[in-house]
Amino acid sequence: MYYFGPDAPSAVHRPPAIRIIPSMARGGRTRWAFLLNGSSLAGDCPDRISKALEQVMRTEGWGVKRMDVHSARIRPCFACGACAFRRPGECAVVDDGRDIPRLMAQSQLFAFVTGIRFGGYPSAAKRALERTLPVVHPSFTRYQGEMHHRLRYPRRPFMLFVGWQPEEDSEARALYHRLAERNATNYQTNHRALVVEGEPDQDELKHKLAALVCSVEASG
Amino acid sequence: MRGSVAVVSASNRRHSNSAAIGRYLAGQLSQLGVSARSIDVAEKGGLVGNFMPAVDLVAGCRHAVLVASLYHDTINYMATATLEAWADRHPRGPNGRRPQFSAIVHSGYPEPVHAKVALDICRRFSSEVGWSWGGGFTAGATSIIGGQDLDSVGPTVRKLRRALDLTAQAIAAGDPVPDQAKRTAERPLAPTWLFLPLANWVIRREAKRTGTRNIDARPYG
Repeated sequence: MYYFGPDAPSAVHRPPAIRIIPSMARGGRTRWAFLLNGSSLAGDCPDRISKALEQVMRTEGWGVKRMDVHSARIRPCFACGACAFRRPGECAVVDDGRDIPRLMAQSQLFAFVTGIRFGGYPSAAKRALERTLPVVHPSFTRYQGEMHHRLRYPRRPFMLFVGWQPEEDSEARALYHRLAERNATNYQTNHRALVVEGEPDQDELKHKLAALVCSVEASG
Repeated sequence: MRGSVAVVSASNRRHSNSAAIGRYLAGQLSQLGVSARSIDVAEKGGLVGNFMPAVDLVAGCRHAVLVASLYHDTINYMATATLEAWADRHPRGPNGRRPQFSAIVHSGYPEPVHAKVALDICRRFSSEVGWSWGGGFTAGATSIIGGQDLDSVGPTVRKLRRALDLTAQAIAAGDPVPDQAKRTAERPLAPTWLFLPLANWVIRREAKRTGTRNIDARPYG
């Protein structure tokens, strides 16, 4: 189902899977964070980490927009090129995933919480991340000595990556950190990444997440 | 070397460059007398979330080769879901043995650095599921393929064809992907200072062809 063309719906798409919880930031101006919860099952560990992260963000004064991959309807990006040429910046696939680039573009902070599989993102989370493509411009530039796509928006959200794996695994952890760094380089922005291993103690988890969110402030 | 080889091409759309690379590799293996079976995951159910054809294809094969495009710094969704299906279903090779696994990760960027993490994720998959790692390589500047058969693309993909020829010979002999194939495939088609303006020219031409009114549009900004 595509947004443009004869079968296009007339109504503006309003995905039910997004929860918007605004809160006032320091200085009276709301700063927005988009939390993409890549958990594939409600109530699993990445889902609980997402909820804890949302609480921490609210405490730190962020307005939070959260999308849960396990309940949202997110189809794969078909690399159709519509967001590059037919309607630049907009996704042609009509589902909840169509709002991912909008929420990303309108936020100062993008948080991506997932499980870790083979050192990378699980497929459900990866499917959602790929839908950020419309924030990328089709033409190219040089960034940090490498060829990259230009980005459509001059303001790029700071990126936070939180990965969870059931047990301690240094190789997978290192791979996850490298992937997070590559993603941030691709989006030409700063980032922080945290890997949570095993069943986390809630207080300790909140402490780590708070330090992570505070590191965004420190980075400006 | 007895036993068949499965070449699994995974990309997020049909008629992809991954499928073209997979077809060429399977063709080379067949020419060497190897029974090669190939599949385009997107074509065979991947687009509707069915990854069983990829699982069934690998069952009974001594070697599985994944050909995947890079998307957001790692293998694309379709390839990730294929790896998960293999990990969850445990297809076995001849005599119940685990197959050898190789991966070819390609991207539109000319520099190999972009796909290194993706290849390491494939290697990590093989160690997690207990398949022996048969090596792999990354290839850049594959946008030039445009989904066509590699033989018809011309000299711009000659290094990739050479790397695939070497890979086919090694797999036919039961060996891992040789270093020479890796070096050949990773050699850039052109230096970035030349490739970048050419790529931007192609984008501008495509925008003109498709009648794009404002390629710099910022609908949400």
